[in-house]
Parts: sequence; structure tokens; C-alpha cells
Amino acid sequence: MLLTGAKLTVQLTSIAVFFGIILGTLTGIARLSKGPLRMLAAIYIDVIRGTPLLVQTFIVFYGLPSLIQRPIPAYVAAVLALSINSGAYVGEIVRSGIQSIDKGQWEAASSLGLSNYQTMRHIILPQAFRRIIPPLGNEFIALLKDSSLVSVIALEELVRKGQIIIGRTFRPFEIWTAVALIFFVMTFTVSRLVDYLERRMTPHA
Amino acid sequence: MKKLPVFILTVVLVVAASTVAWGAGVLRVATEAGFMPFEFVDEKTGELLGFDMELIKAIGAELGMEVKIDNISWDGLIPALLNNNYDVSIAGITITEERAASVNFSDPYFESVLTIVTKSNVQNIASLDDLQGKIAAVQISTTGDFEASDLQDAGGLKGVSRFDTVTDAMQAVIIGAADVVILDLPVANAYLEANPQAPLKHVGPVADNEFYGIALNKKNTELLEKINGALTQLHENGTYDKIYQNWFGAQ
Amino acid sequence: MPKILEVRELYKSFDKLQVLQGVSVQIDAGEVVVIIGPSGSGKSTLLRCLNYLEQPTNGSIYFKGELVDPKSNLLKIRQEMGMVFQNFNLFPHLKVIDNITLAPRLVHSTAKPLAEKRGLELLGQVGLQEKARSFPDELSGGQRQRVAIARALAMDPEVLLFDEPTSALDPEMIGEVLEVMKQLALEGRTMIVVTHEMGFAKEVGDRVIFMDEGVIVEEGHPNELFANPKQKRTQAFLSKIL
Repeated sequence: MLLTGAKLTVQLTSIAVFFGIILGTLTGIARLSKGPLRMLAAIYIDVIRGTPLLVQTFIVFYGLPSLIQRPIPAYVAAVLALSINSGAYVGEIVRSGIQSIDKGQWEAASSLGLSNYQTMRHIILPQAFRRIIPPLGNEFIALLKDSSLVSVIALEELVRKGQIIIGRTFRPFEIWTAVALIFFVMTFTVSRLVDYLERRMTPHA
Repeated sequence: MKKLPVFILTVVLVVAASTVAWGAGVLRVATEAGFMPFEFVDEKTGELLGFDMELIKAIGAELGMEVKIDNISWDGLIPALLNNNYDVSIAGITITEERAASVNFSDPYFESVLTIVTKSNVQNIASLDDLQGKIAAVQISTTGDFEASDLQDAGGLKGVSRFDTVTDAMQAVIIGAADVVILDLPVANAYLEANPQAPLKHVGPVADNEFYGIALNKKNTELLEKINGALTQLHENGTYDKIYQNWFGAQ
Repeated sequence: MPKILEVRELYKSFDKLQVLQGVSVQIDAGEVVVIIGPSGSGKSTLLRCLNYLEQPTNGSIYFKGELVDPKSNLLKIRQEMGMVFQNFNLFPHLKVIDNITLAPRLVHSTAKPLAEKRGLELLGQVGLQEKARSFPDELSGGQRQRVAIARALAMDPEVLLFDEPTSALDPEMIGEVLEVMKQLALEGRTMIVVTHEMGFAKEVGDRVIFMDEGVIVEEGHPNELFANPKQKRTQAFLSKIL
């Protein structure tokens, strides 16, 4: 039963990180652009980072339905809240990743006649992504743990499964230890994966 | 190594604190005050009110002990007992065989009856047999949760959504994320009285009865006997009935 | 010889710092122009203004008779002006061959095999064919700069801009880069070279421009300018470095 919860935890987190990276990349780029998008991205990041994920989850699940006049399944609400949340953090990671790339790379690409988009896509982002793999991994791990918050909208991820079992058996110590162990296995796997990816994407070392 | 002195200090403080709390005449009570009308926080005064609160104070008075109640999380109620941070937990806890393997329960002090809450305009739900294909919202680890889970296992329910509070479960029905809430009748009554504008109603008593008990550490048998004695006393001298009427009206 | 590049009254300032103060110059096709001058004289800035890596504050640049307009034709003009940087600026995440073929493939949509064939030719020209599959940080400084030159050549530019191409190199590697540049000059390429290598200027340059404090102080054929500088500032500068 705990394992079905762990599966949901991994599922929710993976989907959220996937959309978070897309959203975050766009946000990170917008943060460095000129014009109204830059402002919009800054507001998005500030608002999301300045409010608790718990509150964001409640707003998406309880608030959004009255806005769009139809219920949102808890699963969708959770993915939405986690992705939006993750996007803001990833946005900052991407922004600093892009900024860490030497200005000479832009100049070299420009001098060859590459457009801004081509430069971003082929020169800057590939290098930036290599650099942001470690902080991105940290974000994944943080989200893996934070995703337990979506239990408040009745999603039975790992922590909630633990609570349910404890509610029946009143055996908190064993169950929490098992929950912690499963979390550890998951985060440990992710951090090993990140290490591996980082080594693989560094051309040679 | 800077942290070592801090650690030692913490240990000393914790030990000191628990020694003080162990002082003879104090009954340390843990509850989770999100279960109106059994236990809840008075919005104005911040005081802990409810049937359970009044009952445990009466038990304390009967035993000549000072009652100190803390409002902690539901998940903390049982660990707190196993750790000896508290002597008893009282929070509308349903007595089950499974739970009784981990803690001791007092004699039942309340017989609970379940009900179903639906939207006001729903006509075709009157009993637990009418819930096929429906999704039930419940407060996690309550009687309603157990009933819903059994029902789901038997195919009489499509799904169970477990929330931390009754309010969240009710809200889920309001926004259409669930069809019904299954919960204790007194709790449903209290919620609907407190929120008359909510587009919800309950269908009256359904299903069988469950019993609430006061939970204690298995080793603490001496206190268990005292509390059972006090409960008997309260029934005999009419105090129990007074408290019951106070919260639920006629018996 | 036809004029390929013309600069009229170019000004450039960074905040309050006036770096270029009215520079006018013409470059003919096939000419090798060497720009010298003390650091801070504005010579690199002039070069970087030519392909608009820096936007001039004032003045205009004509490339093949057409006004360089940062809004309309900048990408096209940059494609036709190759640039070699002091710090190479190779793309570290790409293999040498991909560094060279990336721009032709993206910008000219050259098919990969074709681009690679041409890339290997260029690598052969700079003497590094066997390094095609290496990554930039496996190369020495001199090798990296030669790759950077090959990368610039891959776009078949009409003008090559060199911004102090040997300044970041260890002394023993300067020669190999200058040798490649000399070959390019012999091929008849139009080159504008900002450098401190006076030997190169003398041997290869068709014209030497001396800049100081944001203006062109003096220009002329290297033999003349190095032997008989007319301006006091030129004399002072040359006496210090020669």
C-alpha cells in the first residue's frame, strides 16, 4: 500500500518537474528578455516563491473550479500546482544558468550570423543545462518531498498512505520509518542519477 | 562541534520539562481540535471546547487531577502516547480491533452514528446502498473513512477522497470534486449549523454504530482503570447525561 | 580595388567614457589592414562596431555600399564578416568539427555531410584535421585559435575581423596562428587585424592604422609608417614597442 503511494509521489513529481522545466526555461529566458514578458516573469517568480505551496494547492483545487465553473480532478489540480510552483524555482535556476555562460559565447554565435533564437537554442541553453543539472536535481528532490503536501486535496501519495495505515493500526513508528526509508531510496536514486547525468554531459573528464 | 552544547542543553530542558509535567496530579491530554462538536477551538477566545473536552475535564475532576489539554495534529495523537508525552488522547477516536493492538482504549464513552452529506438538491441518496459509482469525501482516519473504505472494497463506492479536516471534505462536495461526505452525524449537524449558507444537507442516520474511546499507552493500565472507574461514576451521577445534552440535545 | 567597407564619423561611448571620437576609414577588397595602438585607444571597439557587436553611438558603416542597419540586415552582414576573438570563444559543448559546421548548417542550411566535408577541408587548411573529433578543451591555445579561424572561414565571409588573436596565447603558440593568418592574406582575403604583433603588421599588412584616444592618428603602408612616422604620438608609441 505504501508502494502505491510512492508510485503516485514519483509520478506527480516527475510530471511536475517535466512541466516545471519547460515553464522554468521559458520563464528564465523571459526574465532575461526586454519588454513586458520580463516583468511578467518576475511577478510570477516572486508570487510563487513568496507563497506556500500548500496555499497554492488549495487555491488551484478549491479556487480555480469556481473561476472556470467546473470541478478540477485532484490529480490535475496537484500536477498543476506542483508544476506552477516548480516552474518558478526552475525559472530562477535557468536564469542564473544562462547568466553564467560567458558573454563571448553570445558574441561568437552572433558574429557567425546566428539569430538570437538559434544562439539560445544551440549555444547557450545546452551549456546552461549542463551547469544547472545539479541545482535542477536539488529541485527534483525538494519537490519529491514537498509533493506530500498535495495530500491535503485527498491525493494518496506516500505520506498520506502512511497516515491512512497509521490511522487504522495506530503503529506510527514502524510506518513512518518505512515512509522515510522509501523517500530516502527515491531521493538517493535521483541524486545518483543526477551525478551520472552530470558526468555524462561533461564531454570528458 | 559547536552544536554539542546546544544538544546537551536541549536534552536537559526536555528531561526537565517532562519531569515537571510528570508531577502527580496532572492529567496530560492530547486532542486534535478539528472535529466539531467533539473538540474544536473557540474562534473568539481560542479556548478548546466540545463534548470530549468537557468529558475529560469531568473525568479529571472525578480523579482529583488537573487537566492540561494540548491541541496537536491527528498524526501526533498516538506517538505522543507511545512516547509518554501525554497520558491520554481523546479526539473522537473510534475503537477498532486493529488499533487496540497498539494502544489501550477506555470503555466506550460515545456511540457514533454515521450520516451522508450531499448537495441540497440531490434526491436519490438516502442510504449507504445508494452510493454506487459515487465518490465519497471523508476526514482521514475517522469512522466515516473506515466505512467508506469498506464500502469501496465491496464495490459499493467508486472512490474515497481523504482530507485532513471535515471542512475540506465538505468543500470538495461543494466544488464538485466529490459527491458525498460520510461522517459522524453529530459532526455533520454541527457543521451544517455553523455553516447555514453551505448548499449541503444530510440524510439522517445511516449504517451501524461505532464507539469512541479514550486512548492510552498499553503500559499505563493503572490510569486506564481509574478512567474507566470515573466514566462509570459520571454515568451514575448524571454528569455524563448533562454533558451529552449540552452538546447533542436530547439523548 | 573596389571598396568593401566604409566607416563614416563613427562615435562610441560607454556611459560617459568616449571610446571612439569620430573615426572614418575605408577598406578595399583584398586589403590586409592592421590596426595598432595603445590599450584603450579604441581599436578593439572599432572592430566590434564593424559587425555591430557594439552598437555605435553615432556615425554610419557601409558594407559593400549598403548601410549596416541593426534592424534589417544585421544577421546577413555578420555572416559575411567573420570574426576571430582574443579568447577564441569556441563552443565548449561541441566537438571541433561541430563548432565549424554549426553556423553553415543552421544559417545556410547546408546538409551535414557537405558541411563536414568543407569543415574538414578548413581544418586541413589550419593543420588540425586530426582534431576534428576532439572537444575544444582538449586543444592547446594555439590550436583553439586555429579552429576559431576555421570556424569563421566556414561561413565564407568576405571580410575577416581579428580582435587581438594572439594576445591570449603563450609565446610559443603565437607563430602557428600568425602563419595561418599569413596564408589567408596570401589567398587575397580582406582582413582587418587588431594586434600588437608588429612583425606581422610589417610583413603581411598592406596598410597600418595607428589609433590613439579614439581617433585615427596616422595611417600608411607599413614600411613607411614604421620607418618614418609623421605624428609625434605615433613616434612615441613605436619607440616604446619596437
